[in-house]
Amino acid sequence: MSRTNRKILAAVVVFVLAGAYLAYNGARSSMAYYLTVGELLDRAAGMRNADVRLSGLVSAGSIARDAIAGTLAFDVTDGTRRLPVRYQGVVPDAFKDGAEVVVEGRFDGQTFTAARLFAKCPSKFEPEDEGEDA
Amino acid sequence: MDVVAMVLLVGVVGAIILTPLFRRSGFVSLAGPPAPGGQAGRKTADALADLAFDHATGKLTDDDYAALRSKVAAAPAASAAPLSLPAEVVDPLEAEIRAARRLRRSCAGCGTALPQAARFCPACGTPVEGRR
Amino acid sequence: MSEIGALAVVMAFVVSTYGTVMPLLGAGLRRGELVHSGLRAVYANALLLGVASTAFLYALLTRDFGNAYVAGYSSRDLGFWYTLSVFWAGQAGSLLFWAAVLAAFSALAVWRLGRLRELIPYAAATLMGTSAFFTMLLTFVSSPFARLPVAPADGAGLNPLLQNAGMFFHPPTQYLGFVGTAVPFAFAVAALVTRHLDDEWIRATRRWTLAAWFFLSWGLIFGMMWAYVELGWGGFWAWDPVENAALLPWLTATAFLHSVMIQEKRDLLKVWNVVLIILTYVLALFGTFLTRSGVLSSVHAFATSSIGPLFFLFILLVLGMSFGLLLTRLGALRSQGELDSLVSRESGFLFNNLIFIGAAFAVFIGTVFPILSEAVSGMKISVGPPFFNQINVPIGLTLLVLMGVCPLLAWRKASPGHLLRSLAVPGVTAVAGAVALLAAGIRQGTALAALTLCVFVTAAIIQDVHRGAMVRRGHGETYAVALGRLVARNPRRYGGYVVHLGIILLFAGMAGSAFGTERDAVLARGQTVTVNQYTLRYEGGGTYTRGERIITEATLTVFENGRLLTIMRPQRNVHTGRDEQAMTEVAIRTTPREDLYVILAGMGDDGRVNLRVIINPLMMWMWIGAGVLTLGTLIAFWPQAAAAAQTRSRRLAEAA
Repeated sequence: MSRTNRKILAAVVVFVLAGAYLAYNGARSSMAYYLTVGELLDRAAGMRNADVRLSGLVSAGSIARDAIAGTLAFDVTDGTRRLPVRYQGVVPDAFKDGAEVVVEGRFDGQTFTAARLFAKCPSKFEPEDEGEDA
Repeated sequence: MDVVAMVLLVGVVGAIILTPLFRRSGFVSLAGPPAPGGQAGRKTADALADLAFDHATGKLTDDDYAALRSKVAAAPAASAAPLSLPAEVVDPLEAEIRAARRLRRSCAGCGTALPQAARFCPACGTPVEGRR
Repeated sequence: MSEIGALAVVMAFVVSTYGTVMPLLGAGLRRGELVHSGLRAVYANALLLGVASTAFLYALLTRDFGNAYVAGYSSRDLGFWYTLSVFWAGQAGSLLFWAAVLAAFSALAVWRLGRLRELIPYAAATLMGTSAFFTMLLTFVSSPFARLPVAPADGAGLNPLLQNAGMFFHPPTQYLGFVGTAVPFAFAVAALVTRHLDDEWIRATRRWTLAAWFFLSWGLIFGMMWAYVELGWGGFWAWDPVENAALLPWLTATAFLHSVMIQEKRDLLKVWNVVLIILTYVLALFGTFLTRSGVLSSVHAFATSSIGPLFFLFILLVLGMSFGLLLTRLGALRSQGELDSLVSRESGFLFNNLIFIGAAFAVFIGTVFPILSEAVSGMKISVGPPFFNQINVPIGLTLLVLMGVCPLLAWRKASPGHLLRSLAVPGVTAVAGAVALLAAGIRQGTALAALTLCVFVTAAIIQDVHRGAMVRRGHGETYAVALGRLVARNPRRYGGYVVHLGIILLFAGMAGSAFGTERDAVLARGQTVTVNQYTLRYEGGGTYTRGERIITEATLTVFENGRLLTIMRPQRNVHTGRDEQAMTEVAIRTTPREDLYVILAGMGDDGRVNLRVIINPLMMWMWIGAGVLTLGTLIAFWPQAAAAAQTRSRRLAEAA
């Protein structure tokens, strides 16, 4: 391999390693299990204090909002089972009865405390609506 | 009304697609892969122009410029003869003309000047000699 | 009318299939009339999809609620423009839009590039093959002309979240970008098949690639505008799978756009270029697939819609066939030349390729991570924005460095001493810029680095343009004329520089989001909240009805350092037409320095409001950057100055 090509290869290797390190770091700080309601309830014991992204539908009639305190409580369901969620922060527009939601946070066995809430319109076309904790 | 429109649509589309099949096509028959080296002269001229510009905008020392220029002029692609460059090539266009001149040709059928990589004369359609 | 539309779609499927087979047959058997007929099919296909689109628009605008799609997405009270936008609001309509754009582009390509006799049959066949797939979906799986057994009196209406300018511009622009990549891809395939492995296909499709890239860029920009203004959570990008789906082909297309210059100049990176265009097209298909099938956000959607698996198979087919073809031509593609030096413009472009591919790879892996991890460990694990940011922020910074250094590098082998000299002025300007930024109070590391590099790149570009103009001045022209002629002789290069300036402004706007501020507050009437130099006083609020909307509005007086600035009215609305859809209307005040962004999170029965106040520095520059990018693209599109070509050919003729 010519000198030039060897230098290029070396530079590439350095970049790739740097990139891999950054990717690993980034992944570690944001990795979370992606589960449905049923899966989370099944593994509840092992999931305490684990970062979880929970997906499901908003259970109709379960929404309780305090517009001033900014708190939101609702049940998320996968069609058969449900569990309660507590969230504090801006609520995205798409959030309502029956909307697809993804909540990020932790499950203590009883309630899911969400740090972030994403809601999506039932028509799969629109981009997700995001809400964040302060 | 709708049925008429539908029949019309089918008819028009059929006509568009099927008419070529019934006449001797003006579509020129297909040739094989191009001969290499057709672009050599133009590329060499372009490369020399680039080098001159890089030198003029302060990216190359005089020595580096001279060295690269000889390198470029001495190594064009396969079927073109190596160019002999005069010592002073001030105007990149001059180099271009000299390089291109070696690959000029005229059509055997009608005498029009031919573009470099042509396989058929654009004026009369005669296949270009020696090119497949 | 509906029957005509349905017939046109079925016919388009038949004609597309014909248009795939005939050119191949004709090229194989060396029968010109078969190829000709196949090319005619391309035009017929465009005609048919034009008829189908017209019929579809007619159904929309005449409110034909017997049509299932029209009934599902529009309603009597929907305004004209939004009714138009219903075309691409749902699955069947957007597939028709895709197919129609592809048909139009294919016809245009065959018309303009038909002179490439050897390539055109295979390019046409590739384009028609894609068209056959989409028309197949439209005919058998998702028809825009399906009828309801009983026509309802009124339609379900368009989701209010889609009733805004973003919906009007973003999807069609995005699709124009996706479909646009099909043409260079088709010609690349043709080049591979016919072993015309020089840069003929690249030069022929240069403007197509540029146009596709332009629309991909604006698709992303419109998406960001939409997210920022309409979705109203304060940001413009969330690394959502659908967003990533649009970003991926843009990344590889940008790499491709740069990389082909190396092949044209030096005959290097040929394999790279073919790989890049294949990836770009496949990612464009993948992006369409992801947006339509929801495979990543919800496994349930994937299973219930049959379009998902079909799309997936088609993508695999395209990927397999193109890479298979590439492998058989690998020997012929190997470059004759070699990179002369690590310090040269060529190697700069090579690094550019690697970086863009790296970014695309990282974004792709992050996006499909849940699927991968499930295949490996049985558990779905996903990664969030920190992953994407950790990778892409350094990549962005590296790109900035490259954008500044590359124009200063000579082709083949740069003289190191001269390179350092060239870096001097931009370097010093950058340092001065950094000092100014620190003085302005910007301390955040990433933002500081990014903005300093932005200054660096701007200075480097201006320096290179200036030097070029000075060279021409040596021929006796005035500065203005020199500059004009410089750009006219090489619009591609200088248009590219202007595009880079646009990108710099975009990056600057993005850098601003690294040092913004956010504050939540609950206010009763008369109370205030202070964020940085702004004080917002809640004057009062209420609810009123306008048409179908119940509007809840808060009135805020905004002071800056004590002086009255403006009045802002953020809203939280409910759209009653379509089962109670909530819609936030944020209030934004834009200045070159920052955006003041206020969200009304809620209003209590006692009249108190819950507000989120966000300061987004430098946001305006993103949109300005988008405009500059457009200007640069237009310049790059421009043909090389006629005078130069005439002079050249005149002198060539004289010399003959």
